[in-house]
Amino acid sequence: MRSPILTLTVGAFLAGVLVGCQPNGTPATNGDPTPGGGPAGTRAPRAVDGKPNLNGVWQVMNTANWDIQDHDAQPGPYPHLLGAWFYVPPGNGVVEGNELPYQPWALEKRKENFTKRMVMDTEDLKVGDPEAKCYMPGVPRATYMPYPFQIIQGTEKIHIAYEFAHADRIVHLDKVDPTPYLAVDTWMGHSEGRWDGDTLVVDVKGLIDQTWFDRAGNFHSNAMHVVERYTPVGTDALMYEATIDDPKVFTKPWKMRMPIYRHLEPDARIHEVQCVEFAEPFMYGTLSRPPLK
Amino acid sequence: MKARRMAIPVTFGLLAATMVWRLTFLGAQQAEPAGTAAYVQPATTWGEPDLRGVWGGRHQTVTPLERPEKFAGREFLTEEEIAARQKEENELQAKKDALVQRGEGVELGLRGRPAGKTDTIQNFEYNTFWVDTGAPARVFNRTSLIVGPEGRIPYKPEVPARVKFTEAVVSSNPPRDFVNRSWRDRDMGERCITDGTIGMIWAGTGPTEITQGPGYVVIRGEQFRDRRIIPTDGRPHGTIRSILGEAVGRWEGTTLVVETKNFSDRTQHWPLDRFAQEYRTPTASMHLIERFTRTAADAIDYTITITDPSKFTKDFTISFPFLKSPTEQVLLEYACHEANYGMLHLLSQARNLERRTGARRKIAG
Repeated sequence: MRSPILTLTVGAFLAGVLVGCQPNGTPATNGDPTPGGGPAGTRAPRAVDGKPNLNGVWQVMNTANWDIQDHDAQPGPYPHLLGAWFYVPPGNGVVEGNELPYQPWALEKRKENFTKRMVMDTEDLKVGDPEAKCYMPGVPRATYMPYPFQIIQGTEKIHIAYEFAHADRIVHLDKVDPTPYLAVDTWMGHSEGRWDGDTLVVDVKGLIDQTWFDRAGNFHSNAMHVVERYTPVGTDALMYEATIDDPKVFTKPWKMRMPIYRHLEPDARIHEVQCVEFAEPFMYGTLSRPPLK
Repeated sequence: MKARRMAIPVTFGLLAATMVWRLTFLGAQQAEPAGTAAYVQPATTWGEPDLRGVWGGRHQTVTPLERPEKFAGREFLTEEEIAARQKEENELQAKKDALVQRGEGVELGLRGRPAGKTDTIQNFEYNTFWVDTGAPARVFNRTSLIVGPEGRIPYKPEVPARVKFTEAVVSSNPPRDFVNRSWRDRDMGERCITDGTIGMIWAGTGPTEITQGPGYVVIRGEQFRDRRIIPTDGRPHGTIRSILGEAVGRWEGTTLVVETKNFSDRTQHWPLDRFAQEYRTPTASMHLIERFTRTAADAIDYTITITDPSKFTKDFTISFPFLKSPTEQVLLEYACHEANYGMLHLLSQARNLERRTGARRKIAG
């Protein structure tokens, strides 16, 4: 086995050197964002190790962050102040079958979350949508925030860098001891990855119970186990699927599915956003002098 | 140390780097500590120099930022001084380990560390309770992290007074007439945003992780989840400003050179929201050049040169070797803002104080 792989690698590099770019569709170093340099094809571009090459800047084109289920258009908050800015765009849900199998108590909790989604409680930071406070979005919500994320694909580690709240995940393809990562629940969880053919499968555990799925108040507990599947569709799209298993909140596992698209701008990048700065007036304004109202 | 290092010449190119990769990777596994043998920089599978891994930061050593007066005019410690200080650190760690094993607080173990402002970076001794290195701090041969004959921050004359005021405000004994009006009266660290780019690698409490993909190096500090995504594909700087600045990298041989500019000016509204430690506060006129050279499997030579004519009379350079930590192999999630009850309490306490005593802050009132 070793010999053909080495031959392939050297061959790939020779090809790369000859044409002056990274081999087999790795984004060229001159900033050309289109892997392979041509129109979208059907075969996923390859990294040097022969795996699908997921390097790039990605983003969904959907409204799941507002509500992962089917939802109508709605006015935004304070339309008398903000006009048509910030209205809720209508959209198809991303949940398979659209219905979420909540346990009865959890359905009530979800309704309460929705009612209080814009509340800032200075006694209890767990009230309200964590997005408004610029908290890390958790998994899977990080994937379908209306902001880009970048995949930096090494060999043993795949780094997923989200623009929102500058949250990060390291997907460990190598064997790591999960003990320190799972010692306490975390906002972005602990991610272990493997390749299933051309699909990157990521197993996510250790997630804290304080992130939501969307602005509609859909939520989970710290028993949630997420299995994500990233499957290349041609050169510039991925099909994303997440299976949610949370026996404390739901009666059975359920799935969400959506495409993710590659940014093709020549200088596509994610920028540094310190959204804490923008959340502070909302969070601390009533405790300031003079108070913000 | 540099003379003994054997670097892969850049002209080797991708092909050579790939062909020797397996060999050099093996070599890296067996490499000796920094400076003890010729070292061949390993390459990634896609042919770029490999800096990946979890690296220790400033917390691994006790070298002060500025040169203490007792070392004036002297850039390096003698072998005897290094040995004596290392012995002290080893004993301190042993004492700490013993206390921890008995179930007593880690901070108790730090009693006895030599204190004194001239011997440390500001507040570092106090803040050692944040830092559990799990191993004795390393004593390097420099008398200060700042290189050169002076070893001091070349502040313009008007700056030190502002620094002093800043220190007083963020200390545990702020001026009696100081009342926090809003979150903007606290520094960006207390707001869980960042302590800034300059100190990210050498001043933080946690380790640093470097990840790489083709054409990118990403540096992440555990503290504040500071993250810098650095393209090395030849793209130029843009015009968009941000708090950590825009970093653009290039490879010079096996050295990663990172140039950072386009810093935001949002923290500069003196004095009302200018409470970060002065030398760690980015400004719009700031410009940084950093160099990362891997010198062993477990060591990177790091230098950062700081230019900011608004605060400093000239450029100055900080140099620090960072090591692959033997005890900290992972970065844990730094969810600071996500539970910043400290800010809520601090502000509600200020409002209560005003209600009870009618206190009003006199400074810039």
